[in-house]
Amino acid sequence: MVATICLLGLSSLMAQDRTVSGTVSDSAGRPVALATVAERGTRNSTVSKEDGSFTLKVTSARPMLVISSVGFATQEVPTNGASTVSVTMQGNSSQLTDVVVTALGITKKQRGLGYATTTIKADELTRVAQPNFASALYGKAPGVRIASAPGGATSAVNIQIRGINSITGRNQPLIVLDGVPIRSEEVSNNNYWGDQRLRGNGLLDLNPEDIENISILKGSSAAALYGAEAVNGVVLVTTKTGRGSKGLTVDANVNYNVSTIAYLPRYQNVRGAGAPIHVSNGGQADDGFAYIDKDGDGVKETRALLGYSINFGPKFDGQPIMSWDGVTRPYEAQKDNYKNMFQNAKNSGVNVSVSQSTENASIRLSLTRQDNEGISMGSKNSKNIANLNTSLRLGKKWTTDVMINYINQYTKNRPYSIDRMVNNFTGMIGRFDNPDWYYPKLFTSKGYRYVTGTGQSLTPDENIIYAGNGFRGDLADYLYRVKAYRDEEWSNRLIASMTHNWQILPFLKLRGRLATDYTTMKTESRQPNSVPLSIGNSGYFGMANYNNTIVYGDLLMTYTQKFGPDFTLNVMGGYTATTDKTAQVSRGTNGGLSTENKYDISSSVNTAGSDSYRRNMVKDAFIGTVNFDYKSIFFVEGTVRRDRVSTMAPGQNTFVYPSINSSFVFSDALDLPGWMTYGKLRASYGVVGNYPDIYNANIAYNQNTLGVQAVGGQSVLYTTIPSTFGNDGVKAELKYEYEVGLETKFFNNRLGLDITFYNGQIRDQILPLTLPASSGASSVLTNIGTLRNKGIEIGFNATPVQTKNFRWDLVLNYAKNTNVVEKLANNATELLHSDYDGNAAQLKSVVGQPMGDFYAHPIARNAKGEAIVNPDGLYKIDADSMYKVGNAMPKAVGGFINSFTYKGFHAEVVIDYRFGGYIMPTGIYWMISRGLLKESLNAMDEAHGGLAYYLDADGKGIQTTGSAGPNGEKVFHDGMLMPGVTEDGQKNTNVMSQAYYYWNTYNWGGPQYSSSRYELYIQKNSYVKLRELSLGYDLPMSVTKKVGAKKLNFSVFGRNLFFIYRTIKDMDPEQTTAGSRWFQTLNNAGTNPATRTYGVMLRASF
Amino acid sequence: MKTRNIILGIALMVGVSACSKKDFEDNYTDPSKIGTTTVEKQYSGFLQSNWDYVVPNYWNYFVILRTSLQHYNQTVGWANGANQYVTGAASITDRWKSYYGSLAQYKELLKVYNASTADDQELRRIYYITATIYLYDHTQRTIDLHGDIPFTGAGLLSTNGGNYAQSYAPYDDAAAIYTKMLDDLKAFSTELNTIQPIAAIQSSFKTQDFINGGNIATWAKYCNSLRLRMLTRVSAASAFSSRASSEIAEILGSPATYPVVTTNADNILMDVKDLNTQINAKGFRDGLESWNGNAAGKKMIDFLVSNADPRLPVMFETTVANPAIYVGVDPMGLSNEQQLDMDNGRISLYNRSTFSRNQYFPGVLMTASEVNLLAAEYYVKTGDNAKAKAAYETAIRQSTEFYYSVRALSNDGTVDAPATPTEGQITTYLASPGASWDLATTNDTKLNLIATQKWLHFNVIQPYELYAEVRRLDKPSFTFQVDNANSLKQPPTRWQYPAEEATYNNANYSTVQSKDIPTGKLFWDVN
Repeated sequence: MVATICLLGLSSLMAQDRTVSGTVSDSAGRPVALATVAERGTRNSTVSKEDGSFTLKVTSARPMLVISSVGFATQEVPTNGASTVSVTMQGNSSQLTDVVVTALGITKKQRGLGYATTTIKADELTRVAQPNFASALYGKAPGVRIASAPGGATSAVNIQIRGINSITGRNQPLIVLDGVPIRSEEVSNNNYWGDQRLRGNGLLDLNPEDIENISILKGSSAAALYGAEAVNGVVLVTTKTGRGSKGLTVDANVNYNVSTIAYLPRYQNVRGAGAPIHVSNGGQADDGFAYIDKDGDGVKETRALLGYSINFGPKFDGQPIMSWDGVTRPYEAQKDNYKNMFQNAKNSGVNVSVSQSTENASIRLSLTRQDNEGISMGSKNSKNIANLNTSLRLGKKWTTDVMINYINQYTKNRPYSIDRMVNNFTGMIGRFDNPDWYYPKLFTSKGYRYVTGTGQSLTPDENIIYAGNGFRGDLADYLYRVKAYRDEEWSNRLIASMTHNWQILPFLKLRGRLATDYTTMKTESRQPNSVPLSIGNSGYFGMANYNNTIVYGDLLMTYTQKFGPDFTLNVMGGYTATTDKTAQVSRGTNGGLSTENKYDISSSVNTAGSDSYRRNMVKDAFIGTVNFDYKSIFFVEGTVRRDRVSTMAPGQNTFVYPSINSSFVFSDALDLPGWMTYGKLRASYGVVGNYPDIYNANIAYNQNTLGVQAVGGQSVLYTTIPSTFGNDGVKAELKYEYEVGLETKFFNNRLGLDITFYNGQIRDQILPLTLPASSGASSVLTNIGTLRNKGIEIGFNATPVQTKNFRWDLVLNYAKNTNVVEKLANNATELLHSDYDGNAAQLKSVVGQPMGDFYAHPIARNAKGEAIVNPDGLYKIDADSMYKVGNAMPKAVGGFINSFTYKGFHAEVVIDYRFGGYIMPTGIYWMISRGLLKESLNAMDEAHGGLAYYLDADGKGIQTTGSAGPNGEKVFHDGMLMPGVTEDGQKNTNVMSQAYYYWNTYNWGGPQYSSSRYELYIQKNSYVKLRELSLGYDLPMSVTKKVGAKKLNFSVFGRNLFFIYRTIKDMDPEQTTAGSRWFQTLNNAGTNPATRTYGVMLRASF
Repeated sequence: MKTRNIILGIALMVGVSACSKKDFEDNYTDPSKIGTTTVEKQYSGFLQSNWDYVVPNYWNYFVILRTSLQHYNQTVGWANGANQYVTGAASITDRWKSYYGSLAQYKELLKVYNASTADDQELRRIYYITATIYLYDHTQRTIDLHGDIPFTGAGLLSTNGGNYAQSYAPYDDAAAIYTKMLDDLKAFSTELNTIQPIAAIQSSFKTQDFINGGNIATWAKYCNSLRLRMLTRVSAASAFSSRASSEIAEILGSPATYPVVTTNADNILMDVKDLNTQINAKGFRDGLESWNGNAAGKKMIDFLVSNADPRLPVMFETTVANPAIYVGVDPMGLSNEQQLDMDNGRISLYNRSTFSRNQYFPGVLMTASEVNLLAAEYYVKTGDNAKAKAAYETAIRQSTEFYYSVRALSNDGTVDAPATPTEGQITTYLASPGASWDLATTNDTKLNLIATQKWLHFNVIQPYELYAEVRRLDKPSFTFQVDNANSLKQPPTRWQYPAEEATYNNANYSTVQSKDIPTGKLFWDVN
């Protein structure tokens, strides 16, 4: 397009009456309408018709045709004197990569960039109706790792570029929408007691349908102009505009999809609650059942289960048994009981956009409606999104662009964390239990919360009185909450910008931009009265108002000077400033609702509580760049930025950092063989500074009042010093990074390879160093350490097959990042991130190693190295030492994308993969301890490999082949024998029950508490996943014409369909994504289960 | 065209006006916080910093006490389970953090106090003295759980200007801290008899001291009663025994110089004044009642019932299954049956209107009943039977009066308020086999009576005091089911240090690591 416009500017006065006709089609043979066909060196041009045909008057005898169209590479086709020409437009990739959006929204020629960027185009984002753009990026850009928190469309998505840049701090990139840095906060869904609902982040609001392309700036040099926030990379999102749409274009798209729970643990369906009597005597009968006196006649006649949370009990026999709700049912495994806690989430989206451009203006207006549900019961979200993008040319020297993105959103009942059912023994649903039994019991007939035992109730005969018989209070509580509670959010967000470009003189340009990202949100939280007022006060109502305003402005002056035909100098200087203000005011009832289910603050039993906060931040920067261009073959650019930020102490709140980058298009400079289409070398070096989070450096007292505490007294005012200690002297942390890269294309773009090596060092990391409480604070802000990330990123693309009707494109992305903690403050050798479950395991970063080593206690060994077995038959855990079991950082991540087109059919297969990196999904392993998973069946009888043994007088298991022990002892067949020696060096011969083994080996707690072996919980997490699959069909022109459409496409798609390979079988390994920071993504499997999605989509253009 | 460009150009410049230096200064600080404080405000900040561990509240009761001290003290009844005597990591860590969070506020108070002029320090000395008394009360509780703790060098991060490397706190010997506290308290007790802050200081002290309402005489009683408690605690340790006996004699012998808490009116309490302020007992309900945490234990119920203790109806409820009887959980019972009994209303509950649903339940720091029981013990050891008996019986009367008065504060009517016991009921009780002083003929049986009354009086309200006294006296004696699932087969005799000490304060922790076992004994626990 750019080329076309330039060419049109040249003119020829000569005119001959001659025509060339032909057709324009795409690589699949489909006609390309509205392609511009021009004769080079003249003003002659036309556009192709709907069937792709064109007729052009030409001037010269052997004209060179220039054919261009949006989304295709511009081609020059020699006619060689022929009067008909058929043109096949190539791919749709090279055009957009020719021009890249870089920092501050400046577009640059791809060839001029001295650093790696990746661009992802619109159609890759919308193919499977991802509700947000970030989850559409899986596998699509080398070095970019995506992780979606489970829960559905309202749960946060993490983006991570080139590894982890901060040991404990923020790792999310800066998101820039059309040049405007937008709000994208961090979330933590890891603290169940602090917040039971799963939160999202600001990037979820951006609508993939409105995105033209996404540019990812990875390294320091690329991101240097954005300063501090770009230390983790930048995601530049460019929205669609009306430019290039000749006449009125209408695009519409409708999709519907359903998400269902997926990748559940492999439950066993053999045994119910209980344990062999020789393992745990809870008063069970010989057959393993507990008998209950239901009719009160003093005879325990009714068969029931022990109220155990462990499931090593009697085998399912299908015979009648009473469950906790008093109902007698056949004793059978409830295979889908876990699934029954959730709903199928139905999601839909509709988008209509209208665009038009004229000589002096272009406009695009898009409206989108998204409705999404979560699999958590009652959870739903609706969004109305309007996007307006206009560009006005005001005279020859002035253009003004206006972008308005408005998101109106309603969220009801964000997904509720299932922490209590996964990370907690008393909430794990047994194999003979079912949510369906709970639903009728959750509310009493008068609408109050269920009551157990002899708790006070207006309807005492509805009380759950057999709660000791397998009733899961935590599960009932969860189900009650998801059914009874209502949490709602109404939010409005406006992201708008106005950009003026003033070409003051041919060589001098001024650009000014003013933008805002403004969010207001109202929330209400309702909890009904759970007991009648006559029993006590209960219930809650809370409301809050939140608003956040980011105002961003920049002013850039650009000076361009050509020195002769070959040299171009470009100098840019500017200033940018941002203010970010947040305020929240909330109120809530205190002590309950005084009128039942009257949801208002006025119903508060005691004086209503209230809370508020404000966070205001200012930052600005002076920036400058100098850019040399020699023949568009060799480029060099230098940048410098001086930041000033309000989160650092006045007087030391400025810092300056430079970058330099260079590129050399050697394919144009050297005489290369013909198959080498394109080759470029690039190198860059850059520094990016970063500052502490808001108010973290400042040391100040909290103040509050206790009210009046004495008759006739005054209010007691008080102060406290916070337990997280600041540091006025904290310095900016700096990331130094260099990178070199090679970009090549072969065989006329049939093959492409882009390789980047980078090496970055982050110095003076700003971290809250954890302190023992005895020092006077829980943490102190410090410049603590040095971290290095180095790695390689490879992007490979190819078109292995290309025929008239069939085309196969593939992209393979690979990134390997190696991370090393080089130094910690105060010469410390390690930094502890988490201590799990009473010193059972630790996550720490050790100097000289990658961040995030999992440590656990090994089996204790004697001097000869033999494993020591405790008197009870279990391995002894070495309480005094820990060893590194694995490291949390993935070794390699990437994607493998295949697209196939056959006539009107197309298929797209996106696979993403991850190799290496350990996680510890503790809750899943605890399920083994409760006898819930298949693994806990091992050795349960001889068929499962169990040993036969009897218990001697000391309770030791003696292996036997007889049918009874020497003194007539009973023989059991569920024995396990740990190879090893006893404490005194004798060979271990004590056979124990497998129930005892699994119960204790996968139990909670460190050696102080149990014999559990946490080393078994820490597992390598590698997988290859079919992330997206889409099958589509472009309806033939003959059909589309009938409905007046230019294009109609129907597709079916799936997301997260299956694993091709995975090392962790009992869950979707992404399920542990419970927060934005890396250490919040390793351990918690208890936020929400993973899902699998299927859908259909219809796209049309008019 | 040109004019328009210029107008637009100017508009543009105005829109992107630069930030001023002042914007950066103004936004450095959190608008809700302040840069400086006063001795007065920080004093109240310190006193309130652990209010939820003084006034009954959710976290302390549900997380910390429910499965630990309430079981070790056999106050409540519970269903046996594997690993049941191990003190949970959450109990240990959260209680530890509460104490050190409080200590940090105290050290901050000292920092502000010490930074003021000598003159100002003199004016506000009453704040220093009373804050230190309150700190020592809580320090003693912490020592009595763990033994050696970081103390003199602890909580100093702010004082050290944020230099964390200097702030890792060494452990002080438990006995040494006791010595320092006893020395300081003795000096304070003398000083409190004469100190007279000027009116301008006294009037604000009255407001800021929301424990004793600025009453210096009450602080003196608190101080001496605390000395009595500490001296009694260490009285059997050889290094302290002579000091203990002489100082206790001195305190009890000269009430004018060393006043102690002698009547319930003197009790040192953190009262709940207004439910709309943060200091209230609203969290007690969930804290005590959740997960059967308010089920009665067999031993206590049997004692109260068989001796017709007048506190029985104010402390416990009859069972739901049979409203004529009181039943407690037998700790030697089968787990499944214990659970079924609780679930089916066959077990008495702690009187919900007196305890858990009483949102005005005060935070108890020192009561007259405790002081009299301490005195009784001293008189037993010195052979003064008459005084011992008088103190013992007064203690019982005061305890009874105390629990009925607390019931009277309650804003809950789940259980009807029992009638105040008659003099006849009390005298009958004082003659009952379980409580009669005259039936006890040896010092050991007398001490057992005193210990039993401590058990009943401290109960679920002062579990830390109770746990210390039970370990010191080994009375009353409890029987627990042996837990074969764990190496800790019976309740621990001390609490281990929190894991964070081993991880973050390892250099100092290593000096006490060898003592860090649950079966270790405190230096005063010489039985």
